[in-house]
Amino acid sequence: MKENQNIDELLNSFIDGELGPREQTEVQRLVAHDAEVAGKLRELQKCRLMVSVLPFDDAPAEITQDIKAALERKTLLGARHSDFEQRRGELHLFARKFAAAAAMFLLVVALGAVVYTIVSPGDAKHKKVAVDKWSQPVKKVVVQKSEIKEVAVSKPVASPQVVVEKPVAKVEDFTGKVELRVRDVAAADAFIHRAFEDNGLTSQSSPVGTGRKVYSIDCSEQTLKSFLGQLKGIWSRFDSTRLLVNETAVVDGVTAEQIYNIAEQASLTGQITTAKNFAALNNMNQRLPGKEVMTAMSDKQDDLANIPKPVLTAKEKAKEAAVTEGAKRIHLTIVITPNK
Amino acid sequence: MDERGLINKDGRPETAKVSIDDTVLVEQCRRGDSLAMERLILKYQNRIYNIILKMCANADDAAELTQDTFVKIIESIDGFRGKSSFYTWAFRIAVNLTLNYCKRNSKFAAHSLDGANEGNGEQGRAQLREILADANLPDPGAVAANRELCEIIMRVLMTLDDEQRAVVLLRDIEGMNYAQIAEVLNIELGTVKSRISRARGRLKEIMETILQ
Repeated sequence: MKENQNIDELLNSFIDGELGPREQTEVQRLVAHDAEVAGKLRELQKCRLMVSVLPFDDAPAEITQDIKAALERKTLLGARHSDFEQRRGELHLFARKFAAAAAMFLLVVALGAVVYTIVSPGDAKHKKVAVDKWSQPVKKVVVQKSEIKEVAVSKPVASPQVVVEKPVAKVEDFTGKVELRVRDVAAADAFIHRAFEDNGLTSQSSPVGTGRKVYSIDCSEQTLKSFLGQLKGIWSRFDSTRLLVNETAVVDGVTAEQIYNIAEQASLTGQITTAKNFAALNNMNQRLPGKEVMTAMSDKQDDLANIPKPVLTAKEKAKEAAVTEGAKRIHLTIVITPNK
Repeated sequence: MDERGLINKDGRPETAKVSIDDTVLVEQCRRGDSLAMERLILKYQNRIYNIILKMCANADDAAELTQDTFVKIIESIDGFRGKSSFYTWAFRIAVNLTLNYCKRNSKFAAHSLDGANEGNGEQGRAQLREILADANLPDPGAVAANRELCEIIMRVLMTLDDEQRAVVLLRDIEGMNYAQIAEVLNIELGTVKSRISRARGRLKEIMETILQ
């Protein structure tokens, strides 16, 4: 069976001219020597011949035009399809652009809301709270000499304000005059001279006629304190005392500590106010019975008495003078008048 | 480039000569040259129509299939890479379309065989009997002249499988060699040989059956 198939294929290839010269020769020899193969070859040739002589049918004359028309229809349909696809693509693109724009808008709105929430002064609820707290102190930032401080102010403000506060007035010097009356002027003068020396002050007493002694002191606050503390030891021996503060206020019966309290006030107004207060107080004390007892009690509680005497060397004095230079100065004039 | 023409030992005009101008025509057609496209159609429309008609045995369907073939050729010509000749490429499209058509009309072959056994065409059957009985080969002109015999042969052809009929027609009608047939049908060369062998053996059997 297999062999017959091979022979049939060989014979068909032979009649179709598909064999090489050698195979062709072999087939010819085979056919020449084998009648059966020769008969089979002839049958195959007849089949081939009968098919090949079938009449050639030309295509219909109009087929060329039909093909052209079909191509044109296809082209038109393709163009229409293309137009449709283009329109659909444009719509799709428009939809995508619209969606993108909407997304961008929503994003901007969301970001704006977030930013508004952060930076806005507050919504209605917050405003109500602000109104409720209107009368409460609001922190205000105060700048003083390039330094920012927070201070409480009573005025309501919508938002923190930055204001520049005027610099605080410089501490004002004290200028005063103490008038003391004493019977033994010489003893008092000696004591005061000693106090001057102990506190490093230069005696500037100027003897005036009628036995009056005038002393002029220009020192620091601390020196005044020390000086007055030392002077307090003889203060009770003075028959009367009077202090004139800047030739404005007068304090009768002033004590050594009252002088210091007045002198230590930073401003002139403070000095005068304090002086007036002491004047009123002293006036009341003069009129109250048993004033001497009160004075004695008051003297015992005096802090000035406890102040140790400063023992300063010449260098320390110079140093103190340098340190105190530019600080508050005390200009005090002491007048001792003999009480006859 | 393929230069072989349709084998015609019977003195018929050589209407199916493959020209080397195919490459030029295809290139011009690609550039949108309608004249080149028309020339390609005119050059191959009859040959393709003839094969399609022999395969499907229906003139209207053959015309429609031919039209579809050329539309597809023109539409697909940009995709033609030249790995094969335009000739085999065009026939491949035509045969594939026709084979698909035949598959959709698979009962057609059985009907044609019934027609061949009917009483019409006694003259053709008689001549067929003479041809088969004669030890010598018949005169091709005489066979072609006998219209009844041709109809019988066509009916016998239609009894073959579609693939067998295709190889026989491409070989004996279109005159392709085995390599070209293998290219058109996208099959191996050995498959072409075996198919042709079986197809011709089958034709002989059917003819003998008809004459009994």
